[in-house]
Amino acid sequence: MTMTHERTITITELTYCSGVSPETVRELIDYELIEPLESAPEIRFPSDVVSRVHTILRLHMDLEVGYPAMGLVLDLLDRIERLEARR
Amino acid sequence: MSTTYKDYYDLLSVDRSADDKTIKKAYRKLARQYHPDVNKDPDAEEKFKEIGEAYEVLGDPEKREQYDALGQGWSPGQDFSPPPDWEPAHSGAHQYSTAGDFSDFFEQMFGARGGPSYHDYQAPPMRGADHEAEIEVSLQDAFHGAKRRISLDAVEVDVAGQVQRHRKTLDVSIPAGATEGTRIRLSGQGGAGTDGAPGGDLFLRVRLAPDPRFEVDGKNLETTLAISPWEAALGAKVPLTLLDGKTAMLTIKPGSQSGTQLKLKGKGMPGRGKRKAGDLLARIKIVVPKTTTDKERELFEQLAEASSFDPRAA
Repeated sequence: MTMTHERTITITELTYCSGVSPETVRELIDYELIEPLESAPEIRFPSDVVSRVHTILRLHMDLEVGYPAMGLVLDLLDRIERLEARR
Repeated sequence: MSTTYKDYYDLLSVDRSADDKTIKKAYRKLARQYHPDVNKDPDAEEKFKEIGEAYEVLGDPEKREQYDALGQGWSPGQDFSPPPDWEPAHSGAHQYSTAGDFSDFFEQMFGARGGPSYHDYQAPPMRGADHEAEIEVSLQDAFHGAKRRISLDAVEVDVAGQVQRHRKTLDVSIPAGATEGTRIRLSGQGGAGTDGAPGGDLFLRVRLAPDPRFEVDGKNLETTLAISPWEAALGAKVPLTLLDGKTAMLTIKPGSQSGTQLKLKGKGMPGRGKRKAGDLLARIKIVVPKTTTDKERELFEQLAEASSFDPRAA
């Protein structure tokens, strides 16, 4: 037996878990800061998207990082983490 | 209630006479340095909170004035009680998210942290989302109907807003006559509703496991019926074992060709509700013995000599 969708959440679940509005979620998708795994029949995200949204909003609120530059910041943070893990 | 004094100027490393611009600059520099998303040092978060609190006060002229009014005679960590006639400013804290709860000192001075954070949205109670999952079913089980026990990860959101998963075991009835794409609805087993709203439904979409003998086309079943050259030439009655284990006798007409389809009405997948049962299509395939006995060989040779049949004639 195969069960799919075990590790994904919907926009509804994401808005509920992260406390952000569906509009904000769509904005984050538009800026490609979060990426749905699938969009039909409904938009689904990997479940680790919740912590990513929290990170994005913290950086946005605390350091005034705008959404356009956010992708770069996240990429660089990821890269630093990977490099440090390799050491 | 007493608490300990905090030197906000010291936390931001600025003079008591620093102007707004200097304070903002100092805060931004330290915030970038100690932001817990950027700085993985375990002490960074605590430090960031202190900086955020310091800026919350010094970056707000009204709060800064109140703070300055306490005078300079304090040292960090010294017991602090607000003057008896002290009225906490009603503004509280409002701006920053990671800072979390501010210190008791802050709350004594300015009231409890309140107002909006980045949680800009309070979802109304809503019915849980419908979930869909696939369930692989053997053709036998789909034909007869079956009870199955499945387990899956259920996603739920706890009071703290964290995604929780737990294994959920469900008993599922596969209806007789289920076929590829049939959706089985498990009411209320989808995503949890919020604030007491009912859960969504779980839809299990049937995927049929490949069967060695039967192909499925909607409600119809297709199979191959192997017959010998003489059964094809002379006509015969041959047995075919059906999915339900019963045997049907099929009439092969004299002169039957490979690829000819025999239809057994109503012997496909069983009907469900108003839908009629499907048909069974048996496709004839003439199979020639790979090896022949001497006797068979002799008979084929006689046939070859006697027959004027040319399969390649137009």
